[in-house]
Amino acid sequence: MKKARLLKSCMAVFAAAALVTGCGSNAGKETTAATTAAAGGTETKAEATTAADKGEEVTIKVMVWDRGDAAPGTTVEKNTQTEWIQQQMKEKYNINVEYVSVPRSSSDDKLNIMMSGGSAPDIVFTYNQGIFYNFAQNGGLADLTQAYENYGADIKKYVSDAQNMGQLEGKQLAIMKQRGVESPRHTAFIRKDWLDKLGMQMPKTKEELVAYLEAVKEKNPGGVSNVIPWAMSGRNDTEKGYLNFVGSYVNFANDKDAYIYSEAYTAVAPGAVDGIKKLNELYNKGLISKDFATDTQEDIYKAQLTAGNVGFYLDDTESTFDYISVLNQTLGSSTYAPVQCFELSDGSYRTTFEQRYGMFVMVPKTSEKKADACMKYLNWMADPEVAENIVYTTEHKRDENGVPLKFTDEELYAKGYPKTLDDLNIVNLAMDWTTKKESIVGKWAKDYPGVGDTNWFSNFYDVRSEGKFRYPVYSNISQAESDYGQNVENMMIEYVYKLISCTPDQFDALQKTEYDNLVNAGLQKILDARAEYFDTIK
Amino acid sequence: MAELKSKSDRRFQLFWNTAFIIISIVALIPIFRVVSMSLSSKDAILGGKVFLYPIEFTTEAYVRAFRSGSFLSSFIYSVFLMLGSTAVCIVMTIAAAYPLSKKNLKGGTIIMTMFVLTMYLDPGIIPKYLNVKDFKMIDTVWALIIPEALSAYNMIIMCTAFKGLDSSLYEAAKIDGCNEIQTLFKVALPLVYPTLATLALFYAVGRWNRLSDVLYYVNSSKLYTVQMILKQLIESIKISQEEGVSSQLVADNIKSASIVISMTPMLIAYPFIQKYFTKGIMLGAVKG
Repeated sequence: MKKARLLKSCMAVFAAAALVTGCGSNAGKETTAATTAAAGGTETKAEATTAADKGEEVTIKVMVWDRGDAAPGTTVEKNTQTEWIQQQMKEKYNINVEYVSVPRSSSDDKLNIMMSGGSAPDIVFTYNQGIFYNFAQNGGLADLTQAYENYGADIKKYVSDAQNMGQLEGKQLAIMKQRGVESPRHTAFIRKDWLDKLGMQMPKTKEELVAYLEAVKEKNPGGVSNVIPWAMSGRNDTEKGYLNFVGSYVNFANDKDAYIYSEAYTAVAPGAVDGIKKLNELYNKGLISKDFATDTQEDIYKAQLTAGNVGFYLDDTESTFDYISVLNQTLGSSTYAPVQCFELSDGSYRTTFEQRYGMFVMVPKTSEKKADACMKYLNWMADPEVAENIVYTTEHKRDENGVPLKFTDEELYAKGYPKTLDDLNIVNLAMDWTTKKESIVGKWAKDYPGVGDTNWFSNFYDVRSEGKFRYPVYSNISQAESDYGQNVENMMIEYVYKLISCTPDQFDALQKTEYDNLVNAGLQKILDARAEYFDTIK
Repeated sequence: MAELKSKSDRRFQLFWNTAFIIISIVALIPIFRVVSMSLSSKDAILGGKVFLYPIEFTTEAYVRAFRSGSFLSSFIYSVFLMLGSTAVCIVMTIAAAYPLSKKNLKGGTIIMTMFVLTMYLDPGIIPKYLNVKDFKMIDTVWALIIPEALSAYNMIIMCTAFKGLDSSLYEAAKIDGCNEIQTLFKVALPLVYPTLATLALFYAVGRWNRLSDVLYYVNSSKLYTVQMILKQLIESIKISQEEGVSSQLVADNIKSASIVISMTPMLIAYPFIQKYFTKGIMLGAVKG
């Protein structure tokens, strides 16, 4: 008896706990559902007459990134800006927009889970081509071809450049977000003040660059304690430190070659070994940061740059402005200037530019019925003017260069806007100002006053655009690439680092074994698959 | 009786003391570094000048971290979630462990086996997600409490602690007219409080640090814990690469300040509960 009672009482505790929680969540859900339904009901009634010609009332759920920076008291799903968008959509198309927040930093993981669980919002997005391709291959995405045809007029008008990436086997499975200012992947910077001291001209070729590096090492024009002619870091997730240099030893005979060896694979393209060998030579002469490969967090690299010990470096095009401005401030004068000196065999330049497409904006298969409404939403914000109102708010003004003025964080918070309004603008970043040189230069000069004046940035704009080049891209990802791609890409960076920092007599033997390792890891399969795919589409 | 120790004994002790001091220093350096970064100016960090002590001392980062968006509110929410979730966990653990500690519970072995199985068989994230979804817990705070409300491991520790109590205590309680509920509250629980405190800490730390359920089960940003916000801050550099955004989105000193703030509750709680800590685990383990 006692036993039974004990069991019963404990079970009762379990059951009670389950009940409380179960009821709690259910009740909560129901009441919210009821209130929203009621609210929706009254809304419909109120607008029934005006909304009749705008089509049936539809509710779409749109993913929005959360970066934890909404104004206090608001959320990324509900703030001044989302309310404005909701009101616009309601007025224009009788569409109710609801937002579903997804943490920015783990967005792709969450998206995968939601797609597998069948509970993804009606509009989702990712920067990751692999994820898009995977969804598309598994039939997880709605075909947007028809909706794009019917309701995508503004997308066609303003963002058509980028749209081929969203096509697969003739179907439009994603709308591509277009990037803003056209920019190269990497840019090289050189100490202009040191050049002047050495009495040298701005290098135009690799040979002139090497002469400068050697002069820096010998004469130490800055009089610094630890001079580094060319600083590199050992970041193992980017090729930024060497790709422009090594790439200049590679000649693409045609589009096919350019496709096979696009971007990351340039380091293994025919001819690239010569470039790596040259870097090895420079390294062994002491012209490149010693033991750079161990600096995987680029802490040393950053510190040396800002301390003013570095004569030359290659990095993402705008990401070192903070360091330059600290250095300029310390020295009280202008230091770095952009330089293009990686000439190809014919003397011209090839500067790899960012692709025009950014994100893949998709509608899950489960939301197929709402494809038209989703397309209307996307099409509405493809208009650069609307995009500008989303990113800079409807209350924004423009400066004398036509650049929209961004409110400060405090102003945004005071008005109830989140800090990163860009996250609501998911189709077109190419607003009016992003296509005009003087606007871009004016904006830079305002944003980074410590780096240089308008002339400096005007020169920066010209130098970094010299030899603009984009690799051909297609949305297809071969099986080999999805299996081995990531690993091989990481290994290729290791491959280059190892080769740069070995002794010259080891170079050839090491190159052979390391290359074999890459092939064993799947490199050859990937390259073959890329070649094969190119042949099938031509 | 130190003077009686042999020379080799003292050498032995010296060796281990030094070794442990070194190990603790190694463990402390990263924490010192984060703290000093949080108290330094942005430019000093950019210049790589900050290592173990703050350069250009300023508390600006803390002010900004607290003012920035939802950090403060999510911090408070996280503390309450941690407390509430720990309470639920402890109730569930006692409710499962107490009956299972009784030898005469019919089917006890089977129930115990089922609990133990969950320790070895993990269904994976998608089945879990579907389960939570079917219970209509997606996007509610319950998704952060119920699925992890009972840890089989902790339950076994609790169960062993109950088993370790002398059976004559139970008999005495019974003779004095206690029913099982009274026995549990008046006799058993007061005797296992070290275990209880330890498990509460386990659960609390687990909840405080757990991230994946917040990521997967919750859609409203109101329900994000402070760890989630922290992850956003720390990974903002990786993101800016993907997005082609050039400048750093969150400054290093604000990042460090946020890390320090989110460490604080645990740093405060640990010393107070630590005294029960080893005692609690040992109690269960030795007598089991």
